[in-house]
Amino acid sequence: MLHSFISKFDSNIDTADAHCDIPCGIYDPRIVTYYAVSALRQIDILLSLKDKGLSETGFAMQVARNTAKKEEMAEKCKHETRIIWGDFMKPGNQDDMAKAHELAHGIMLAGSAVRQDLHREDGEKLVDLTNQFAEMFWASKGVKTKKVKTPYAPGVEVVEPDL
Amino acid sequence: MIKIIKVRGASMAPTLASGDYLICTKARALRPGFVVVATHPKYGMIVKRVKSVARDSIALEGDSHESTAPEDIGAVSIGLVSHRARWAVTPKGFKRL
Repeated sequence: MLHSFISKFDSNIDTADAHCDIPCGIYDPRIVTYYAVSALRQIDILLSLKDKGLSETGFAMQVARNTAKKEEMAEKCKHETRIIWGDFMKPGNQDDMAKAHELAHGIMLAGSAVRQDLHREDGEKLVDLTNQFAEMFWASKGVKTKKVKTPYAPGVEVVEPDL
Repeated sequence: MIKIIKVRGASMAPTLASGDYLICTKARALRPGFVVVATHPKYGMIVKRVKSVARDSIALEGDSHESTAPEDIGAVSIGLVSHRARWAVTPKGFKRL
């Protein structure tokens, strides 16, 4: 009960890491894709706001909230990519380092584009690149992948390990 | 001064799970075995257990066998240890640390 109560104040509580930044060997690109899809969803919501008949104040509030969330999701996508790229992807773990660098850099640029403006194609590109990143990651571990459609909006295809 | 800090990650398992909350006090008179929160120069804010204490620095380790060896974390200046975790609030209740 107390745990549930405290969780209501999450946004004001600092977080201490007990995870793989100090390598514990747990890397999973699904979190990268998750944030990319979330950013795309925020773009869709923002693009649909003008048709919702909101008051001027209500519109401004929604734009502010969803824009902040869009930028947060895109930044988290970049952050989680950097962890996998920087901590896991290295010779020995990853055969094609040139491709790893290219994809990770592409996600950095696409993530920034999502933050800077409001074009759905930027969000789609971010999802596409994170899917490629996930495919490359799982291939390096010899794990087959499959594409599944998210059972929630925006209903895009994402790469999952076929475990 | 009491501070609440949320745990993210599994390197302190089975003592702490991701999503647990720590009820912390200011870090004073650190001893091996204490669970502490430190600002690591490379890894940012981390929660770990004190392995050993030297004059100006401490060695930290995770409880999980998958956590990195203390040698990889390196010696952490005592000045960078901000809090000692006293209690953990988990979905199942309180846990004294």
